[in-house]
Amino acid sequence: MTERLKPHFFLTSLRERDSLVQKIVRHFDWILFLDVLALCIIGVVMIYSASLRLKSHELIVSKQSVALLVGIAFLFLLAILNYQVFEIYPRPILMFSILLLLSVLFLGSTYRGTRAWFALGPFSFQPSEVSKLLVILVVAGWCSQKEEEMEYLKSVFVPFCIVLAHILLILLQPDFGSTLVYFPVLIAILYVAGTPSIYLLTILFYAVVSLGFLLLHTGFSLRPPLLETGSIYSFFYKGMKFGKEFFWIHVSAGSLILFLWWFLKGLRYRVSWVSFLFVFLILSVSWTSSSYLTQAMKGYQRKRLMVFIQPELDPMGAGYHVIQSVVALGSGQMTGKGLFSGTQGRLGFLPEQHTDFIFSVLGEELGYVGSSMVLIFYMVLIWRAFAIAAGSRDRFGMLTAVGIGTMFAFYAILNLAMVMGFAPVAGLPLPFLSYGGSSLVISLAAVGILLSIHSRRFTY
Amino acid sequence: MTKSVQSLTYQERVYRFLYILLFFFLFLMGRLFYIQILRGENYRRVSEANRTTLFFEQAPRGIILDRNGKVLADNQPTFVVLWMPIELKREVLATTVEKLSGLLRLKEGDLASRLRPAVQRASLTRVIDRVPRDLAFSLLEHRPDLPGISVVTEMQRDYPQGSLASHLLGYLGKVTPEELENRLEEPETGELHGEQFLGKMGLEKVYDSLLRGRPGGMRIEVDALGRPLKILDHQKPVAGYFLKTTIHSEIQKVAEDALSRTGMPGALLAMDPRNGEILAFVSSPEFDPNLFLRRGDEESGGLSSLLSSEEQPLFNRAVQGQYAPGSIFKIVVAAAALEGKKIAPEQNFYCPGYFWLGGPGGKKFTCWKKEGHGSLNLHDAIVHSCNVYFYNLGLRTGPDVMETMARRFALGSSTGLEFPGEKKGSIPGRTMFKTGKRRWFDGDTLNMAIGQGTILFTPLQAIQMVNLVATRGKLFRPHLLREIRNPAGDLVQSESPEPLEDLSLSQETWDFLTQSLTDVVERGTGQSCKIAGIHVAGKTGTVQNPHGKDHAWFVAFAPSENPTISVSVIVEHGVKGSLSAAPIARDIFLAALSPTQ
Repeated sequence: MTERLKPHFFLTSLRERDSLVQKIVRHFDWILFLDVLALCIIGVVMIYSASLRLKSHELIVSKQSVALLVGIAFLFLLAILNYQVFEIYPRPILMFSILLLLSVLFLGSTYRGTRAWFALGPFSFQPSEVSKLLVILVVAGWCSQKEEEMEYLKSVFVPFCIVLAHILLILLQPDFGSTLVYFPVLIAILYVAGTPSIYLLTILFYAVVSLGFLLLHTGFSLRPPLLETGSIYSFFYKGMKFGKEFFWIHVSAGSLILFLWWFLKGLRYRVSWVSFLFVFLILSVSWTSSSYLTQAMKGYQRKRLMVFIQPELDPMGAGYHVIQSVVALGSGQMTGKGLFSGTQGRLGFLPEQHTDFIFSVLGEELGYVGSSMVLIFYMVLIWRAFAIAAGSRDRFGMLTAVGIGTMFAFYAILNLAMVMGFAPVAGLPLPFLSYGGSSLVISLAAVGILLSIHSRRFTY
Repeated sequence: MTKSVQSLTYQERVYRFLYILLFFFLFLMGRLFYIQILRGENYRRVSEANRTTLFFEQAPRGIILDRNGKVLADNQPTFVVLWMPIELKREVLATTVEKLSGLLRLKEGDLASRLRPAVQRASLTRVIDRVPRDLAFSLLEHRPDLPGISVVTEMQRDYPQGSLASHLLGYLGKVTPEELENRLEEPETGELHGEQFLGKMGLEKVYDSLLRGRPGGMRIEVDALGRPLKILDHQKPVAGYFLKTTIHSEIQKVAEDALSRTGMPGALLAMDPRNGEILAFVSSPEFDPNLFLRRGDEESGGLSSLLSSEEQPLFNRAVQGQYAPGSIFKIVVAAAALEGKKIAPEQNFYCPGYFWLGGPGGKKFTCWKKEGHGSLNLHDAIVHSCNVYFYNLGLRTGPDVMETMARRFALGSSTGLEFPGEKKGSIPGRTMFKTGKRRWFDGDTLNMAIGQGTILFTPLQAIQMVNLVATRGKLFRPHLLREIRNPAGDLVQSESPEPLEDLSLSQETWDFLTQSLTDVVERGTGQSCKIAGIHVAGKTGTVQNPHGKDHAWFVAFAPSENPTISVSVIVEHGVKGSLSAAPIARDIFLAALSPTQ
């Protein structure tokens, strides 16, 4: 028993005579590995094609290839390493993650107005990418140890605070796009961990309300006639900034809820005042954070949101990207224009063609055949991640796999929706395909953890 | 060691979450299918348009010929100056503009503003069309100092006969933004291009899609900033169709000369009454359609004086001018009276030179001949165009019968010529006052009987009226086109006479009208159209004009026994039909029926 309580760091089982390699080969998830490898190779080829017209073409491709090799090394390392090691030391992991994000704020190098990178010679490294994976491990570790206590507020509150701290630190860089992934990952882990749905709904409510106010604010600013002085809209619009309107909105919302409570009490409905306070707090917090976001948003981000609400607003500017991306995809038709001969990408009609819009280049050159194949690869990846979660031998493995799977799914869905004209241009990469070393290495490392969970599913 | 999880509910949650995510992927797959398969064709076209720019080359417009194959409009090679601003520095640009403006005799500012879009988009631009030969050669000589400039030849429209048949042919103009928007693509002629010329008037407009041809050019691949990268292919322009018109250019020439000799604005139509072919189509003054094609400062003066002229040379009087018919309407009145049995041709009335009308609106109505015609019958009243006789006749016949007969003569409605903007004229009647405060008075009947007042004809309607007399009731749609041939010369379509509704009157009425009109020329008001050896039937008309001298009408056909040509002439301020209009018709008949031929 004592031997079992202590997890093995590496596959050093004495009971079985198999060698390490045999063991890995036997329990290895080949489908997942080959699927991810295929995506990575397609990614490098497409980056090669998309960057052909750029001056730094060779540098881009070679950097991505190096990242791929490093990533695969990480993948094997983590596949061999027992993932349970991350459960034992949640605090150092959390500290490390926070420290990374803090230090990049002071020591990081700035690129396009965002202080988010550490420069390492010719390479650069983005700590927020690492933090994502670390947060998944920490939150999964916390939740796996609170199996019977998930209905307690504290069990939900701690992961929520961990995520909020990361979001705040990343917003200080500021990088709006990178923070988005934390919500779905948190909700997925908490849901699977058995959190009562009231908490999840609260988080969902918070996210929806704060993003909804953000969109509403942008929508208002697009319609100046609504904002004439004295109108109710202009009152709300001004309330988005910290000022006297902000205060009055809180007072009136508070008194409305108080009145509702008093009214229901009068009708002899027994509702605890705590829940009303709770509703008020959520409203207040989400209103405050969306107020913060509207002021923290940079000009181009605000413009992207506006264009998402009204694409015809700027067909040659920010809306242009989305239109050209859809044109590129559509012009690929069934079989595409042929590898390396897409015109939209090669002639510079696509923005960010080797990063965010890599899928447009792929769709243009390989057509529906190629792009739907890539879509199927992603579906296989997500399926494997969740199947590994379901087959995991412990709660930690399950929650980690769910978090990783959700992360991949969220990135893929949002990026694809963006290039197909369904979502605002949020600057999210497509995992394994988009150019970006940190993202690729971390994605492969995450796959390594998945493989580790899978190969240890029978080990007791 | 952590507790192992075997609980099914956890796995259920995991799979439930997975299904939600996979649903999103399926949705994206559907969207992909929609974009790439269902709308792919469309997006492929957009991306093609994105990456290519057409360096446009005008197609030679179809040639327009007269009935005997004489050229009315063709194409001439002209020099076009092109500019391709590749990797041009600001200083080089400035010196180029300076040199170019000196050579082209253009203001530097004008030239710079013409080149600015080319500089911004770095695309190939036409600097100037129709460069004179000497200028083209001096440009070629200076080419080493003019980076990016090249001179090419291109077939462009030319009207070798100058102003001949200008209202028939019309003129060309640059395509306007509205036209570009409304007619983006046509199957025959391809996409409309901003540099293209379109017919704006006349046959050039009516048959524009046939004449235009399919422009060609070089397809050049450009990047997102519009920088040219390479030439993809070269498409030869396809010339437009040939049009063979019904016009007889000698008759046309004679008619234009004769009309311009009067020094007054006017219109003339000559037709073959047997099939509706228009032989001459004149609206005077004419204009030179070549003016619309030239560019540059020295020629545009001609165009602006053309556009600002008080005589409105662009106004097509032959189909758009509306004039009271005057005495030529007496043909219709006489036919109405005879057919309605309101009078016997032998009936005499006495003309003292005036007619007193009593009752409301009554006053003295005069005859053109102050001393009076004396007593005369219907035949002589037509021959001498006696107004007093027709006042009496009009009162007997009544306005309703006259109106009905006028409409049976195809008046008051459009003739069906393929020209746009044809006016309908107007035939008054008692119904027109039904709603207003005014009533129809007998005075109106009198005015109508001699073709004055609110009654209006176009010259084209007037000739259709006399065509009916010439053919004894057989009417054909007037037309201008005989054949359409493709550039290779093969017949595409040939026009055949298109009969309109017949007018059936009794033989006696036709005989009477033909005889009376012949006698008008033989010994009546139309004697100035008399030709030895040929019987001409005609009728003069004079239109009272409160704004100046009276307008002069003459309608006629010849030979009166077996008519092969009919003419209608109006000369504005021509004073009297017999004075100014009839001699012009005589010139036409001489040219067409010349006894020597």
